[in-house]
Amino acid sequence: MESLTYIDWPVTIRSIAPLLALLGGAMLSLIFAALPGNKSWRLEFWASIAGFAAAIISSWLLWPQSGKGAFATIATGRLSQAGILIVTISAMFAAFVSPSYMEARREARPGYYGLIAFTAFGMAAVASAADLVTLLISIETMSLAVYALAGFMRGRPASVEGALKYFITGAFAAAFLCMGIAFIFGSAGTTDLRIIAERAVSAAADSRHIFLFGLAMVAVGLSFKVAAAPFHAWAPDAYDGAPTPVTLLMATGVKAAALIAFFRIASAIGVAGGELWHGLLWGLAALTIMWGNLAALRQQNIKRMLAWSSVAHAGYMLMVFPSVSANPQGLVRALLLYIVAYSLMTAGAFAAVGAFGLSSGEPADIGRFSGLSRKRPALAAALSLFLISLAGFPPTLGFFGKYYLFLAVVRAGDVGLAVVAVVGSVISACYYLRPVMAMYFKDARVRAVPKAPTAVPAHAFYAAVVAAIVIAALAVAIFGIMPQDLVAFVEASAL
Amino acid sequence: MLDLIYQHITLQGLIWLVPTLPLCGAAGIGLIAMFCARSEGAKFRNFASFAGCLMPALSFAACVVLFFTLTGFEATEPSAITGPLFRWAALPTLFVDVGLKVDQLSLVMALMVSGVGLLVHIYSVGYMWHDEGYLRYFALLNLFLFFMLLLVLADNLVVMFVGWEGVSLCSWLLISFWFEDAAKARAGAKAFIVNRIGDAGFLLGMFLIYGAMSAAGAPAESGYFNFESMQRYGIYFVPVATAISLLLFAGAIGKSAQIPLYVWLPDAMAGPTPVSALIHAATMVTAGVYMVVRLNFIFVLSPIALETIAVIGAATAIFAAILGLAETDLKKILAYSTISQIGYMFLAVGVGAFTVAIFHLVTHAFFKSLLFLTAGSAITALSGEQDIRRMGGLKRRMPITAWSFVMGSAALAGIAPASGFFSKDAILWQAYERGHGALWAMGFLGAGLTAFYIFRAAGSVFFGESATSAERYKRAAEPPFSMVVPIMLLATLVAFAGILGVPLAFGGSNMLCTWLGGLIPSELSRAPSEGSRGVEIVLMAVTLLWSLHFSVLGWLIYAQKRDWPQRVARRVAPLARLVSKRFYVDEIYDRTIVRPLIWISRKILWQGIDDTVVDGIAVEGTARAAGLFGALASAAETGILQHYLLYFLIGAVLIVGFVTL
Repeated sequence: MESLTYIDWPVTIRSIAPLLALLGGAMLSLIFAALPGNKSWRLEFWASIAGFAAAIISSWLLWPQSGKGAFATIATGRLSQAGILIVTISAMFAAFVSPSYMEARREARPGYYGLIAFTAFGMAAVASAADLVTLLISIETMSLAVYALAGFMRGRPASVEGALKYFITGAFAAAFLCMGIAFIFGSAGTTDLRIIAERAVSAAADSRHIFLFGLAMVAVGLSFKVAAAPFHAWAPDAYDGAPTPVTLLMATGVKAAALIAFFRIASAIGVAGGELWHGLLWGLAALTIMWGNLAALRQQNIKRMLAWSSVAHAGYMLMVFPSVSANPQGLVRALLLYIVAYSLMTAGAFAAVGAFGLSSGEPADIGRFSGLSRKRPALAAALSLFLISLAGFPPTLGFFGKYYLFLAVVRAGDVGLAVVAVVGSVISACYYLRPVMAMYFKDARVRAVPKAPTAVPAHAFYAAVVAAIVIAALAVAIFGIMPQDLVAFVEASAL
Repeated sequence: MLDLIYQHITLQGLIWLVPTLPLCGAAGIGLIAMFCARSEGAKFRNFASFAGCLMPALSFAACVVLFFTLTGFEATEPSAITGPLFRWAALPTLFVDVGLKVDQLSLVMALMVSGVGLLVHIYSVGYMWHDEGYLRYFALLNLFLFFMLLLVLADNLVVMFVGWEGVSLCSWLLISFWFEDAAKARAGAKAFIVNRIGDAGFLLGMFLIYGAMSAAGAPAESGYFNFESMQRYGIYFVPVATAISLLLFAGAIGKSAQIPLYVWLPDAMAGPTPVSALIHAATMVTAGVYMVVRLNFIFVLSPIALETIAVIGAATAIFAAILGLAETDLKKILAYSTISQIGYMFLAVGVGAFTVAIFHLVTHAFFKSLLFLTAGSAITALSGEQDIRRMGGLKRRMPITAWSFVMGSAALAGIAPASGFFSKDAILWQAYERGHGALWAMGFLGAGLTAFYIFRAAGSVFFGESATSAERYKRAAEPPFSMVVPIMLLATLVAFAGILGVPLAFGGSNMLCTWLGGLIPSELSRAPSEGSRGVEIVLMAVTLLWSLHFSVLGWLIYAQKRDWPQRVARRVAPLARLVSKRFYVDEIYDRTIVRPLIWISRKILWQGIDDTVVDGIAVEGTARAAGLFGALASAAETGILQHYLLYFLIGAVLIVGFVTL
């Protein structure tokens, strides 16, 4: 207790204010959720939004003054602030899209937004963890909330099934992560990443073996979280079963947080792995890219297609890790830029898919998109923009993300990996363009569309969906033409 | 007046304006045409007519101003260059600047192109008024004028080639203007493809020029293709002059429709008639002649090449005239006469009389566009009838058109005092005087044929009894004002343009040729022989009588005794058949070149290589392989949790094994 008095509390609180804001928002949401009446979720919704907004604002204000600082086991540097911004904004996207989606399916029940807020808190903590134990705990915080969210639509067997698969494989992965941390602790004597980094290089030969074993286990555990092959098998089922807003969150925020954590570990102790680490991650990235892209080719269901595409994108982002010790700054810049680009376009794509599902049920089959350009031209245009950006065509943000990423990878010396990624991108154009083709060049199947309301649905909070899609579309389009501001932000974040 | 203009605009600026103005017109009208539906286009017709005619008019005015400015400098040659506007290509060994040059030659050409262009634009307002694609038409016609002016004003071969290709493009777009009609679209494609064959030669010639210039050690900065630096280093072309000349001439053969690449021009008549008048009679097709004259300093280095040009020109002149004899489509008769007349121009070039070729080019532009415009009026008056056997007697319904056509025919036939007489006789005289007796004889023979076929057309269409239905004949009338005015202006030009080149033998001054002669070194050194004037006058009289006799014959027979020629034709049936089938040249090309090419392309390149190897194995094979792997990856996604955990475990074992072992 005595040590607590040595802490400069005002400074400390300020430096972890975004995390506290998220936590506060989550708590508040839970309290509102417990209010009587079946409309309490509305208050809960606003409470969670307030938490996100507070976190975004405080993180944005903190960003310019943060350097590489840390408080105890939490890194508070610019990288953390940028990570918090990214994950919180994705959580906000998910929250915006949710109300009308859940209402349309008569699943609007209290507890949902509290879970999203806890997920956001967990993601933010993952993105700023500077200690392996903190990392483990925050990953579990995040994951538990997401498991529950994935199975939130209790009436839908697919939702429950996906959640269960996600949970069991997740538990499996957590065991690996936990064991890996234990081995690292065993060899290095600490769980603090900065200290491990110093000791790992000079570790003795016998304990080095144990250290590497631990590192491999941690890599396995984190690969699960980013859905890298062959630890990705849960992703399509869970993404497909979960409510679309939750899928959005899983594909963007969760993945982004895990990647940032992965990067911290890789840049701190990956260097000790040497050639082994390089080969391991090289293979992991290449396998993920090819597996994700090839499997996506065959998908008829757009959510599963996007799930596989998120596997492929995880592969692209994993490309920075093999040579991370060669040029950590350049690579993290490329990684951050890609995370931002990927999050925006994936969030937009899922939001658009969810919005389409509002009027005519969940669009499982890509064929259902036929003729959408005539019924909902704006929505079709937005979805096409996101898909084209995901495929990496200029002038979209997806193109610049890929460009900087591939450039950084080539500069780091992994030309072969960049070639694999380019081949993967070429394959990806094939499946990303299929829905676009369906929307613009095919007529609606007369039989498949009963006289469904094709006009804009009159759900409450529909404006929030529109806002989310518009913001994502504008970001993808504008940063695609003028990426310099975003690049400057990302470069400054990678101090 | 000139002072006022030059207070606000430099000489160089004025030169730039000449091609740029039509480009602005093309861009403006083209944008409207692109962004509004065809039905809405009608609203902008007045704008298109106004802008479409204003730009050529201003361009023509700029040319006139340039002419008076440059001829005003008494002490110096009337020439000016703009210098490079911008550097188009900068490689270590190749610099291409975009610049324009005005001298006697390009000034004459630019005046002719913009002048005739302006008249044709005005004529088009009436001719095309009811067409759906009115805006597109004017945009393309303006664009054509831009490229043509670029071609004649370019100060280097590369920019000239841009214009050269640009006019081809516009020609293609305008021949197949009514592209819904497959035959017309094909005619456009044929013109374009045949032209490419010649252009391949042109390009090879340019490569050789590049080689010669770089071997000569010319400074790359000045631009290897700049006409002036080419002329300065002209002596270095001697070893390759024949190859360069023949290759460049191959380009001219394609563009100017000479043997053996003339086949596209008759088909090109599928386009609107004003287009035939401007592009396929007056300007574009004569670009080949212009190019040879512009590069005369290379061609004179190779007597073999000049001899070839002269022979091909003379042969084309006579061959196309024969084809014109049996043709029954009015526009195609004019097309063959164009081919034949350009043959005369090449004959002139080939004997070394470059300036005379340009003289004939100019007069030909006037009388041939006049013939086309009047023919267009007659065809429109008879609601699209083009067969001269079903026309006739139109003189009574449309006298202005009829007499204008006769004026044009007289010029084409070479009957004094129409302008064609002076230019054609100048060519024949130059051929004779420079000792090419055989070529003179061919030209002489051709002149007679020309006179016969064109008065055959005149007699059939405008004189004698009407062979069309009475009702149609009754409806035939003079076209609207906007079409009559250009016809009358052109008729006046045709009547008096001969003044430009009244030969010395008649006490004239041979103005145009003397003026142009300053540009052409080989003509400067040549003194006209004094003693031959008597011979010249005698030859001229003989030619005139010869042509006149055939003209009257053709006119009489076809205006009054239309059954005669049919009886004669029956007596020499095989020959008549041969001629009316155009010597089966199209068929021979089809069998020997087109079909084998298509066969090779289809069976070997397309079905053999493209379909099987590229598409089948490379493209679809890759796609199938990707699909197969995709299927495998999807199949692994069984939905069974135990399998997922198994993959997980396999992965973990591999990773851990990889790291620790």
